[in-house]
Amino acid sequence: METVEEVAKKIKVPVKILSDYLIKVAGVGELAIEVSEGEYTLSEIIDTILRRIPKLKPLSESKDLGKQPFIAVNGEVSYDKNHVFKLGKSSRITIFSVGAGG
Amino acid sequence: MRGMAVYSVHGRILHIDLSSRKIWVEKYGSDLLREYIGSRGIQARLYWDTVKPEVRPFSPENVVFIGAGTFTATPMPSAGRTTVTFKSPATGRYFKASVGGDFGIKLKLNGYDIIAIRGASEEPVYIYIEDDHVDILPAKDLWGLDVRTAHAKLVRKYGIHIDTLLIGPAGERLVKYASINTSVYNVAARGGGGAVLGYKKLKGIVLSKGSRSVVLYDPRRYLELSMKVVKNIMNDEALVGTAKFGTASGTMGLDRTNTLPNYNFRKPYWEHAYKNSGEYYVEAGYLVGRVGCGQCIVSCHRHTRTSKYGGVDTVGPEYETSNALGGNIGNADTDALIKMNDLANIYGLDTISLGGVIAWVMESYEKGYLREVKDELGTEPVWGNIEAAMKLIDKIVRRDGIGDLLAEGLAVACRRVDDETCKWAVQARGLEHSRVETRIARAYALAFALNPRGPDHLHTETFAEFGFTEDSKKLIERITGHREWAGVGKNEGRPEIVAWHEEMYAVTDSVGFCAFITTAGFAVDEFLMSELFEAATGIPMNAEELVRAGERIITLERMIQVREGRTRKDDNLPWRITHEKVRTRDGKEYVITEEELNEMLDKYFELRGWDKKTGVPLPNKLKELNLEFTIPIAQKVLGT
Repeated sequence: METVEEVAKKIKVPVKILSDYLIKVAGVGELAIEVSEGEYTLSEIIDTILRRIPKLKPLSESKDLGKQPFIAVNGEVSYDKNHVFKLGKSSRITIFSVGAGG
Repeated sequence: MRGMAVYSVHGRILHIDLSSRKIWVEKYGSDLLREYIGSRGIQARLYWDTVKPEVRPFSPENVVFIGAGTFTATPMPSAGRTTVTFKSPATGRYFKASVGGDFGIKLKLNGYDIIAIRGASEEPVYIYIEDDHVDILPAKDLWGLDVRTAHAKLVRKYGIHIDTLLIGPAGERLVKYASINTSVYNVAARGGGGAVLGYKKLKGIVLSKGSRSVVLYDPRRYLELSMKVVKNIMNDEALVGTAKFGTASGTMGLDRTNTLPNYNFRKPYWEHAYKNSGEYYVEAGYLVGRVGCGQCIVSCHRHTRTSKYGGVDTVGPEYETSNALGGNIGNADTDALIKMNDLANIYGLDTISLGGVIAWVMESYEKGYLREVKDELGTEPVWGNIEAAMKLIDKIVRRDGIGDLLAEGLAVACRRVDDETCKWAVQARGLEHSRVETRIARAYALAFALNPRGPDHLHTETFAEFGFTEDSKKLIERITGHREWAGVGKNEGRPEIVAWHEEMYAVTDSVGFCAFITTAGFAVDEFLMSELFEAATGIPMNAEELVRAGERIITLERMIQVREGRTRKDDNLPWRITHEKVRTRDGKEYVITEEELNEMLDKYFELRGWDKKTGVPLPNKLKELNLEFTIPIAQKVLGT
């Protein structure tokens, strides 16, 4: 009898960078990350994105708020790297920098 | 007429008396322009001369001045702003509000810099202006219409080239925070100017396209400098973001720094803040396009659309609205936010005050007050209940039931319900607090305590305090000598930061520039602005003199309010801000104590040359600023 392992479905999550400044640094405005459907911490999501866009790494480690990328997953932003997000078929990730509106 | 011939303006004030139906033009010369720079400054002087302290806001003697900036209707980007000056029914004192759109441009194209609306009509009227032809016409068929419908009706009558300044049903019913709208969606929102026009039975003003133009003193130099401004705007990182994501691009920076007030100033951050942000409006597809005021190349307004709530196609929401009707009332439903913003636009309501009032109802209900409102609304006014919020808006505009009380604003409403509820009526001096957490952003706190309008941002937008960009850090260093004083939660250097911004803002308003390019973005500093002023008007003006003119305007506005009874005791903040701690995301607690505020005020008064005990400008300072005519009032209050 064969053993059937349950393999989580692979999905492509679209990542869109909104801010011109970050697009310039990253050298790309849109991409997709391939992950297995499931739950991920913000930290894991950031690591996955940075593997694809290593040029953003210095900014993500910056203490300067004006330079730090903000990451929205499924329309929600968290600053807690342990915050857990579900990534599924309709997920989307948006990256932007702090604005100056008021 | 004072002084020589003028350039860049017409030197013409159009007076319209709605009681006597008399219309006349008053001319002014370069002296007034040199001293007061333009619209806001000149109107403060006209207000001093015209609106005596005993004049009631709802009386024929209250004069509404509507003036275009000195650079408005010239080839200068982001310089199309108009200032409206009046005695406020919300605060009972001098008030001014700035508005964008095209109205100021068309005003100057019709040959006038300022309109002064005097008296009051017995029947609804509107004013039609086509160069020298000025008519007061019946407005029975416009009265009762919302702003968008009234504008459309006037466009059908006069053609697409007109522009309008209109009030909505809120102004007609004297709601104390009724706005004045230009070009439909641009709003002189605060202080209840719409109610003053409503009292005067003036539905609005229609401007034809006009056939006049202003003459520049040195057009070649002015154009060269204008191109420099264009270049600076294009290279300003803050303004690039504002262009792309609108003013609501401020939401997430404030959320991150714990300065985004949610749930009626009880929580300075919010898990759902992103739903109230300019970036989300883009990401989620609400944004149809960017909308700019006349002369503006930033175009920070948003054309938005949703198919929900009956379908909405509108302009906005701006940052303040996004928070006031968003996190402030626990609303993460962006479709509902767009709908409520549109209702406020067309009814003619100030969204900051509106959000403050709704949040107060929700908190009062939570604490056991206003329990009867549930039956009146048919739903509980609890946090995030959109149905309740929308019903409250409708009731306020119609002054129906609880709406009649809420139309009076927080200062009145809380006292009528129970003094205890005034602790969470987040207002001071009759005006609801703008959308920034002043317990943590301390330059804003000092600025709000001093602002002649009330606790509000559009007099002293000290955005550089956050230090989000390199430019803002440089500015804080230039003002205070300390780069490290950029950032929130700090008291150091705040009096200097506030004073610089007040002066810069006063001249910014007066020339008609948008504050976004001078005090939020940094495309134009005082050095460039003084060069522009000289090229435009031919009046010699260096940066130091320009800043001094800003100080003159600030000091005159203070003296106007001193004459209206203001003293240092009025330099305050809402009870909640000075008595209740707010807890940040990482557990730090902040309150701005009265001692801290007093310490900052002392330093500010010392810097300004004002009396520390009373907050009244000292006679020698008034003389130094050519404000001798105000000295008798100062001496009376000072007892000297």
